[in-house]
Amino acid sequence: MLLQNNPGKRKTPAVLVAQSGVLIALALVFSYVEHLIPIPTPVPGIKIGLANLVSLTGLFFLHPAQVFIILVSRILLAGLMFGNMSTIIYSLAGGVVSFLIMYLFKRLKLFSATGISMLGGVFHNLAQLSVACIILSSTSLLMYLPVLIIAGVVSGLLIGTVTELVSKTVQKNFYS
Amino acid sequence: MIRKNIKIIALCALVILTVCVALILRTLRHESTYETSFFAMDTFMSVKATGHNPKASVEAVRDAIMALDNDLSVTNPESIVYRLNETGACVADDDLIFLLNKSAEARELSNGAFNISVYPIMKEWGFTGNEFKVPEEAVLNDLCKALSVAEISYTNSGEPVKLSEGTMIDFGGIAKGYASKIAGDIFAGHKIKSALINLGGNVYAIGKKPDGSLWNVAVNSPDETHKYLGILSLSDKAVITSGGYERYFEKEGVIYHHIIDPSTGYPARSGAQSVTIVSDDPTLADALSTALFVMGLDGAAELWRSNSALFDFIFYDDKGNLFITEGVKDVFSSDIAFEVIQK
Amino acid sequence: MSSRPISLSKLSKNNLILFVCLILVAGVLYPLLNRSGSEGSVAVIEIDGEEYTRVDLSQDTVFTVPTPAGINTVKVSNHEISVESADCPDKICVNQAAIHQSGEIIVCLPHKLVITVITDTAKESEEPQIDAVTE
Repeated sequence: MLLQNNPGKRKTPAVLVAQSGVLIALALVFSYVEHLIPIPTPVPGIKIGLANLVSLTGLFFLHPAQVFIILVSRILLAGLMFGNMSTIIYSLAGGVVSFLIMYLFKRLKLFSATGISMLGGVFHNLAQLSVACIILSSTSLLMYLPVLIIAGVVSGLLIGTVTELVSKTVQKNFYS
Repeated sequence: MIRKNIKIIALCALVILTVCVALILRTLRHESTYETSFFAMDTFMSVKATGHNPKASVEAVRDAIMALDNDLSVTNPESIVYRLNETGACVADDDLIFLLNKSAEARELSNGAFNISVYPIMKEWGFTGNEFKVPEEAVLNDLCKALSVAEISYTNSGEPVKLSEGTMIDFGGIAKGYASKIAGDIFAGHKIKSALINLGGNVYAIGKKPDGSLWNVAVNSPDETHKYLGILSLSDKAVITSGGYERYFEKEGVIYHHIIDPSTGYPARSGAQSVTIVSDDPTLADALSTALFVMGLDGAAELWRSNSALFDFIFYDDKGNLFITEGVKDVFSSDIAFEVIQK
Repeated sequence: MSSRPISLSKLSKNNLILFVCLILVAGVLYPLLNRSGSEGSVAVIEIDGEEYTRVDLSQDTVFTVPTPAGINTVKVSNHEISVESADCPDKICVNQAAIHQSGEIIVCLPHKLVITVITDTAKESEEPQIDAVTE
C-alpha cells in the first residue's frame, strides 16, 4: 500500500513520488469541487478549504517537506487549471502561511488536529487579507478582519474534525 | 518540564501576537486632528492636520513659518532681507536661494509682471507702512527706470547675494506661497496625509479630508453681489488669490490698490478684480496670482495656454465677468455664469 | 495520532481555550474596525487605491467602470449599489450582495476595484461644506 510505512525504513523515491502524486490529485479534486460550488458569502474569500484536509492529515503522517511540496503543487496546478495569476498569489500566501503555522503548532503538541486546523484557517485568511491590502493599496479591507477570523475558526473546526476522523482510520489501517 | 514550559511560552506568544496586532490596528486607526492659529507675515494663519500625532507636526509648521517670517521680513532689522536691502549684500541660505530662483522663474514667465524688486515703488506709495500717498509721476518714472536695470546676483547657498545700487527686494508676493510649501514638506516628512494650510487666504490643501472627500475651497467675492465667486473641490493643490480689494486707499475719489504694475509704477489697471491661481506648486501660485492680476485677462490667458500644466486660474474682472481655465472646469462650481477659457 | 499519545481531554480543553481566544480576538477587533452603521448616501469607487468616481445612491443607474484589468458593470438601484457583471475571473464582486450602509465595501480583487459606501454630509445639505476661503 502506498501509505504503508515501515518504521525505521526510508521510503523509496518511487513510493514518495507515487504517494505525493495521489495526494496532489486528491487535493486538486477538493479544490475543484470547491471551485464548482461557490458559496455566496457577505465577505469575499470565505471558503471551507477542503484541500486543507490533505495538508493537515499529511502533517500527522508524512514528512513536512513532502506535505509542503504537495501543497504548493496543488495550488499551482489548481491556479493554472481553473484560476489565474492573482488566485495563485492569494492561495500561495494563505497556503504557505497557514502551513507554517500548522506545522509549528503540530510540533508544539499543544492542540489536537482541530485546534491546529483552526489556527491554520485563521492565518490563511490573515495572510490573504494582508496580500489583498497590499495589492489594493488600501486598508479599507481591514474591516473584514473579524469576519475572516471567525470564518477561519469555523472552517478550521470543520476540517479539523474531519481530519481527526480520517486520521483515526488511517492510523488503524496503515500504521498500527 | 521544559516541553511543558515551551507550550506555555507558545501560548503566551500567541496572546502577545494578537495583542500587538490589535494595538497596531488601533494606532493605525487612531488618527486625530489638530488645528492651530497664529499671526505671522502680517496675516492670520491657521493650520490643520489629521494623522498620527498631528500636534507635533502642526507646531513644527507654525515654528517654521514664524522663523521664515523673521528671515524674510522687510521691516524687522534682524532679518536677512532687511540686511540685504540696507547693505546691498548678505550671505544666502537655502530659503533665500529657493525664493530668488522661484522669483526669477515667475518674473520670466510673466514677462516682468511679477518682480520682487518693486519694493522701492511700494515703499514710495506707502504700502509697506500705513502712510499712503500718491507719489509724483517723475519720482515713479525714476524708480521704474531703476527697476528695469535692477540686478540681483547670487549663486549658491552659503555664497554672497548682491543687489545693484538702489535695488531693494521684498518677498511679500511669494513668501506665503513658500511658507505653504515648507509646511507641505514638513507634513510630508511627518507622514501626514491630510492637512489644510490657510495663510491669510492663501490656501494649500494637502491630500483629502479625513473622511476621504475633497477639500472645498471657496473663492471670496471682491464685490457685494455674491458671497463667493464659486467653490473649488480639490486635493493636493494650492489655491491663492490676489485682489486689489485686499489693501488699498482712496484719494480724491480714486482708489489706489497695492498691486503695482512694475512697468508703470502705478497700481495695475488691467481690468482684474481678483485672480485666483490653482497649482501644485504653492510658491509659484503665489507669485503668479500677483503677476496675472497685473497682466489682465488676455495676458493671463496667453500665459496659461503656454503653461497649462503649471497652473490654472479663475479671473474676475471689474465688470463682474467670471472666467476660468479649462483645467479647473470640472472642480469648480458657481452660482455665477462663467466662461471657460480653452487652450 | 502519534507514537506519544497525549491525553485527549487535555487537548480538547486546549482546543476549547483556543476557540474562545480566537472568537474573543475577533470580537475585540470588530468594534475597532467596523465603520458601517448609518445609511450611506454616496459610493466611492476606487481603482488601485485611487478614487475613480463617486456616485449618488439616490439616483438609479447602471454604468461601466473600465479598469486597466477589465470592466465592471456597476448598478445603483433602490439606494443600494452592486456589481451587476464583470469580466474578472472569480466573479466574487458579482456574487456579493448589494451594499447600502456606510462603511460597507465591495471588492473586485483581480481588477483592484473597491466600492465603498460613505455618508456624504455635503451631499445631504446640498450646500457643500466650505473648508477654507481664498482671498
